[in-house]
Amino acid sequence: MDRNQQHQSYSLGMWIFLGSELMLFGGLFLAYSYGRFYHQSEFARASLQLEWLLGAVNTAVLLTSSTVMAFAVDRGERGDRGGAARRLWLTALLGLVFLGIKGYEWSLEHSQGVVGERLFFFFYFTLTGLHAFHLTLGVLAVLFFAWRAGYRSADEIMILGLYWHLVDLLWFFLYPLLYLIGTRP
Amino acid sequence: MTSYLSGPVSWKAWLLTEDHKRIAWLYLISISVFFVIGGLAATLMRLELATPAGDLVEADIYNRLFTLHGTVMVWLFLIPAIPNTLGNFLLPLMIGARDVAFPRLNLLSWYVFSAGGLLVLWSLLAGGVDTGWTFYTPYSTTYTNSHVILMAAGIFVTGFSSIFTGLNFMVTIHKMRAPGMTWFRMPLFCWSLYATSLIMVLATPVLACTLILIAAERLFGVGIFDPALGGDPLLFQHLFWFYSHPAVYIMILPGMGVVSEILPCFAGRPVFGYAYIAVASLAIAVLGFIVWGHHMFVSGQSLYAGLIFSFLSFLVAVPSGIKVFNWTASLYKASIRLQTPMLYALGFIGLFTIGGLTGLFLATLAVDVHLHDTYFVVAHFHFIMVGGMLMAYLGGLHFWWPKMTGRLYHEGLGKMSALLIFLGFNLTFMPQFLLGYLGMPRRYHSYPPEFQLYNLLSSAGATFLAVGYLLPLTYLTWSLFRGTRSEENPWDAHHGLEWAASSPPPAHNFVEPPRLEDLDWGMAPLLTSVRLGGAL
Repeated sequence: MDRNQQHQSYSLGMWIFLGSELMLFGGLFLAYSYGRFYHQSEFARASLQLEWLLGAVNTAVLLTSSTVMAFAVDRGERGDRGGAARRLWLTALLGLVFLGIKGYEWSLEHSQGVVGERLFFFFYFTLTGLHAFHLTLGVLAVLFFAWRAGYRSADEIMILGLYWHLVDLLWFFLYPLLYLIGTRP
Repeated sequence: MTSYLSGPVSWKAWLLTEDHKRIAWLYLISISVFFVIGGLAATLMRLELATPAGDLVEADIYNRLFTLHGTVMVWLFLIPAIPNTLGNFLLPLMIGARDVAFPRLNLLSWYVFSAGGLLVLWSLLAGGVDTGWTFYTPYSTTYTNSHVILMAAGIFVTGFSSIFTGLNFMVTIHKMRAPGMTWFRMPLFCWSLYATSLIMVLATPVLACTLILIAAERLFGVGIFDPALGGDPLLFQHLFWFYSHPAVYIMILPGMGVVSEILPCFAGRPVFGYAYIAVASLAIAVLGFIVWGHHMFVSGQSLYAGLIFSFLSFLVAVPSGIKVFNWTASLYKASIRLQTPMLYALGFIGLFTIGGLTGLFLATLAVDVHLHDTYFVVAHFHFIMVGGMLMAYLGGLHFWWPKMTGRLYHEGLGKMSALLIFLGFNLTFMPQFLLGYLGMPRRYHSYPPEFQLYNLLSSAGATFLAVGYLLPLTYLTWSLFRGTRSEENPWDAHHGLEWAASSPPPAHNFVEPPRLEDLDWGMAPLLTSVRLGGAL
């Protein structure tokens, strides 16, 4: 297997894996839709208890991280390993900021307690938890890549970027579905 | 030339191997163990059903037995059976590659599979599960006190091994084919593995999230599926069958691939309609994703949904029919050699056809209302799973056994057990069609006395079937140590790169990378166009 074939294999493997991930979240989104269809007003009321502003900040943080990741991929392609590494560090840092804010939200919800529709909060904790789990894996991988940037090829950074963008993209669906379905006064 | 078997032989060398051929053996041994466990459960069930009274086991134990039988056979035997053993061994050989695309992921897949299998066994030792392999809610989430979460966890973990293998095979087929091995020159077995992998990668994650939801409802009492908690049991059935119907095609497609390899070899001519069989595999995989609702005709799904699912289910018969007609046409005016693998392949065609046609009965809305949850359904899917898939698995195992081991088995014993299995199978499951038509429901440990004759016939058939399975287990194992040495191409196969490698193949498959010269697949036997060596 030559290097080119290897990179093509990794890239295709990542795309297939992402397809698989979409089906995993897809099943959960379907179950969420069912719940929301049957309990519309309860879901909307429960949603109002979430900190929409923190969620919005987190959306911005993650969106920025994806942009920085795209720059890292670009640096990698230009052969600027140091530049790629610096951008990867920043990407990971933004990922950690997201996880920090998310953790703070969870701790608020834990200490103050949430009331009302249990089903909504089940989906909230499962979906955001599963998302945070994926992001944690992503942060670890990005940190590893940043640390060993000298040994990573541009293609490998690009493939890592694919994963990062998917995790980012999932959040764009999660944020409105969870935080923004109630009517705020 | 040292073969892959005669390399380092320590435990460590086998358990940490990245060679696809050795990993195939790891899988072969694991699934054989699970097959025996699932088979023992079936034996106890058939014994119980020999008499109308519930005299051998109580209803509760019987429930646990059929759950065990279903779960172990579906997830720990049928799904990995052909892809992970024969597929692992053959795919790289057939496309002229040195290994799969991700050898370490391949090994990880086996470890994950074993871990999941052990969890399922643990749930069994802890007392088992009584829900049936389908885990229907709200029974599985609210009412049963058996070990649902433990078993679901086992299946959840096993699912990852499916995803890893599917991903690995897809990338291997896309990126690792030898020069000259174009898509439409690939053996049909590779096409069927590709279609199977597609389902594994896209359907299995939905099962994973369904099992998460079951565990959540059971542990935390959130109302997802249980109507008493505000949930909807139909949602469970949608999610479950969205995976489990395509999973049926995970089980049968590789069997179709095996038959498409055995037939042309023993008919001495290229398979008829190669491209149609290849594309039919993909068509079955794709259609498989949009027919799940035919499991729910009597579950309270809307009539219009039922109509559409019924129509879509009929469509599956088209690519399946294309395959059966093409296999049959391949036999026309051929010089057929009735050796063991061929007996299995011919058995497959007949039994699969019956299984497929009775599937059409069940896809018909009105007929299904009468036959739903009766032994007719049991007989139908055993014709596909055992009469189809298991026959193909055994046929493939016999066909490639000389390649895998470098040894020949006893041909007379092979033919005898193939016939025994064929007859035993028909005796076991034909009466079940009649039982179902007469109205005997499935999943009961006792039944009215008027059903005894057919049940007794079925139990008698199961005895023959059991002997038929024990025979290959014995003579194949014996041949491992004492069998006559096999040459490269013991069946005089005319196509298939695997026959160009030595038996057993060297660790890196081909001493020299194979090179295919430009010859039309259908017009010339492929093996004559293969040159070992040449620049890659």
